[in-house]
Amino acid sequence: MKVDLINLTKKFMGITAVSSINLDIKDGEFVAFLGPSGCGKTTTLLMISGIYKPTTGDILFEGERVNHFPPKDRDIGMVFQSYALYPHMTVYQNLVFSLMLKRRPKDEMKAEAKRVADIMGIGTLLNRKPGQLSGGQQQRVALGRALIKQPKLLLFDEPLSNLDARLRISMRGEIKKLQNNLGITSIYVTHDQIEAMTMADRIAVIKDGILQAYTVPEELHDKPKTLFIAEFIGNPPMNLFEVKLLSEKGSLYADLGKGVKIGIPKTRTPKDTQKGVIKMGIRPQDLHAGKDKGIKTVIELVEPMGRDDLIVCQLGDKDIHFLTDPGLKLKTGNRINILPDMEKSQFFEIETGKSLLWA
Amino acid sequence: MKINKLFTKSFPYILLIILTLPIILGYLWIVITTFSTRIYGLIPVDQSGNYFRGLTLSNWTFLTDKTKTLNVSIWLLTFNTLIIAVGLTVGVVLISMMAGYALSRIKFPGRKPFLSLTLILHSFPSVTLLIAIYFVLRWIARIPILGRGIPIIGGFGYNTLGGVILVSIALQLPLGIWLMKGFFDNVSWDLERAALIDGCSRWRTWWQIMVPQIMPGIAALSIFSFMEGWKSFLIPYSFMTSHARATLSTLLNEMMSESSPTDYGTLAAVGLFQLLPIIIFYLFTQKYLLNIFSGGVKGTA
Amino acid sequence: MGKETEEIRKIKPGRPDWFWFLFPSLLLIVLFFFLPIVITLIISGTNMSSTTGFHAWKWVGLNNFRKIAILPETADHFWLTVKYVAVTLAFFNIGMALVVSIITTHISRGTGFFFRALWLLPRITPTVTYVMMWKFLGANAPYGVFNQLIIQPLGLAPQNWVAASSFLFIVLVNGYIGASFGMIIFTSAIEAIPKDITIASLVDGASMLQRIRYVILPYIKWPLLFVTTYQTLSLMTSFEQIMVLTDGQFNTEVWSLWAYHKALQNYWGNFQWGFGNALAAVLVVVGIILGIIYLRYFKFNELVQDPKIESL
Repeated sequence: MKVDLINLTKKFMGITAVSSINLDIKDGEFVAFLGPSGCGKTTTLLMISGIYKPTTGDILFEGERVNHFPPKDRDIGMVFQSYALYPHMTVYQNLVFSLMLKRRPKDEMKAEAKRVADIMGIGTLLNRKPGQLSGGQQQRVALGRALIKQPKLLLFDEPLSNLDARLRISMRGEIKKLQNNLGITSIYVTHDQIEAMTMADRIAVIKDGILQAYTVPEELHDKPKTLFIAEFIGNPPMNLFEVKLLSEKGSLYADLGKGVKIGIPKTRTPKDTQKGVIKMGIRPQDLHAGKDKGIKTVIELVEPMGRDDLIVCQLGDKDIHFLTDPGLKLKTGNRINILPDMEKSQFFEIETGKSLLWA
Repeated sequence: MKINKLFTKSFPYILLIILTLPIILGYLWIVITTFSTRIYGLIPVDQSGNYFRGLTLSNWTFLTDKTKTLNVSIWLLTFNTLIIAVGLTVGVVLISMMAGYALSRIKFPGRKPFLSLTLILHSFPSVTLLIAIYFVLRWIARIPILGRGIPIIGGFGYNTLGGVILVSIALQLPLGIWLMKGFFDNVSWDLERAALIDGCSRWRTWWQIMVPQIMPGIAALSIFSFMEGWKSFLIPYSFMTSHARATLSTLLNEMMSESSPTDYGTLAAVGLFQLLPIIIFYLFTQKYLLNIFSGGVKGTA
Repeated sequence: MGKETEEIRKIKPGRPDWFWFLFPSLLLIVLFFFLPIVITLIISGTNMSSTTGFHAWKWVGLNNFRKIAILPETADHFWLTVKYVAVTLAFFNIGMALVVSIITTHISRGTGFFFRALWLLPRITPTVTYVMMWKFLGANAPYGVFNQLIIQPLGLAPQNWVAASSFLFIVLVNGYIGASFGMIIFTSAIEAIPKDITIASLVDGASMLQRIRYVILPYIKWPLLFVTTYQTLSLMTSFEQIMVLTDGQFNTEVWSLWAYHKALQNYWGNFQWGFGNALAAVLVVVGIILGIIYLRYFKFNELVQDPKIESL
């Protein structure tokens, strides 16, 4: 189902929680709303589900304005962070509750429950109460309950936040696969950028109720339009520091202090070279330890992360983090050379946080 | 030194026992009296005053005979009392559940004023209104059928069980509403949202999803209301005048004003008869009740 | 199509759900709180009584209140009420409640629980039975328990203590019920005092009295204020126990009982509804004022959250 949000705004007692959001979701698309807690993403989701009424602006389903439709008339299924299973009903009753409300015949309810239980692998749990299930099982039931209605739109409100790390990763894949197979349009609210990046077709980054960006994950990662996105997306987070722009003999340099200067390639020339001091960003994976080329420095700290070692050292007068192969066996105090891959560097205006490359 | 320490250690216990003594003595007296011909202090005596004599079951004959005072069977009075207790319980719980849900969960104009009003009424001394309530009940009594034409409870007007129940419900409502609201406040919002998305109306959400979540609160309010109804005195005494509609409390009051201390045996037995169900209830449900005895406002102070 | 459905949804017939959820309580509150308050105020301006009936009464303006002001017995009822509220509150609803809750929280858990359960008995016992108990505790020799167990062994003259010390007895009867309210609230407040603080005070070598003064009392300041205001109001207006115990004899007719007697129960069968309501109106006004102060003071508004569902 095609969903459009037009100038969607929500105020609580005069305080703006969601500010004029515009975005479109194509039929069958998997969209993530990503942002820190309290940014307005869940409020937006609750407006789409009909739990909250928009203060101004419109919500369109298939082009039809649904602002005043009650939740039950919206053809949606929703999965909650707290699972929100009815504690006093068995798993089976939880699953078929919506069908029961529509007065479907018993046989149909049984058949549908079996279908959904098979998809979710919860066939053996039907007679239990939610309190007797593990978190992962509860989430499967919650998902089943949302699916049994064969909704045209699936809403997820941080569904994996209450699960442990390992389960989260496997459920992540499962939900993505399921959505792919069933082709149901889905909106997935999360504060976890990895979840958003791995699952979503497009990501809407929201901060302070304002839509920061709405695009495919790769673009969010490689071409962040604002400082906020650059900081928020990517793990470990991007190195960001202030540099002075220097122009010498037609070439552009970033001055990191203490006499360290790095050349900026033509492809990454910031829009306004007269700026003077700007913010430079470079991801930890785009810095490499060189043999003899590169900037000389001393390792201050090594944090083994398993697949990589995270190295902390000084570049000019800035602390930077970067990833290396643990096979190099680098130790605190080692002298190394660093080669930044400046083809992947980012530049931002300090006052507005806007990208000087993509905005 | 040692004695001193022993004293400081036992002092709190001694003080506590002394302070609690009237309660202990009172309840001891009531139990002993019911099985005695007469009683001097706590010691049963017979007609001629011999100590530790005169144990008897004759005080309990009221269970089978009509009571001398009102000339009606004790079981009719028990039935009346039970009707009041049950009516009050059902009424308070149901109405409080409805209002408590709306106040906790639904946005509507005037919600905050209504809540403040509930709280003011909660602390409001409702007994001061008894005189005026007498007029309201007399007025209700004049409404056809509703006033005094309903079987069992008689109606809702003056001098009917229904009227007494209605007044008792009303006076208990502020506490009930506030309590139920508090319990509903603690139910997860997601649960209700899920129900609405599944296709429930607000009424069905209330009844099928929300009410089952606050069972401990409902149990507490039910037990409390039942006990209040069972032991209520002032309202039945003020608004039910005919003997056939007396309750155990009003019977006792009548008996007490007629008896001399010599024949308190039957009186105490009727009192114990009324007290026993409450004590048994209390023993099993004490934990539920503590929250309500403090007025249901414990957390807010 | 879109606009049309919206219109249809808006004109949903009848009143919204919340109205029906609140309707029964609204009806009862109007019938048994609002209406009676209004009636109390209106009738207090008439000379309505069982002599005039419901038809032959006249407006008398503020005459009833003037009568209250000049009647010689007014002062007696007034000061008795003040004394009764103050003494019961100080010694029982606050004082005894504090003592019992402090002791029962500092002895073994089970024993403490047992004694608190005992203290709750008066609250759950039917009023008449409870008062009967007290009547007999104080009854004349040879029946009365106090006379038998305390007075006579001490060699003092036995008597009917309910009549002889009527004021003491109305305080005792109400106090032993009232103390449990504060006891419950103080107990949970004391139990909520962080263990670290109690331990710290023990390490510092504080005596029990010092601990009460510097640790416990500051911690239960709010519950203390709450119980005081709440119980003042209820003591001021409750008369059920006094009515059963003495029915106002032996100089125990507090204000609220006076009003009740004048209007609904008196020995001469002349019910002075006008005058009785005027007496009640005084309490109603005090009740409303105290209720509003109480609401302001405890900032209940801050506890009220907005609902997190707006649909329907």
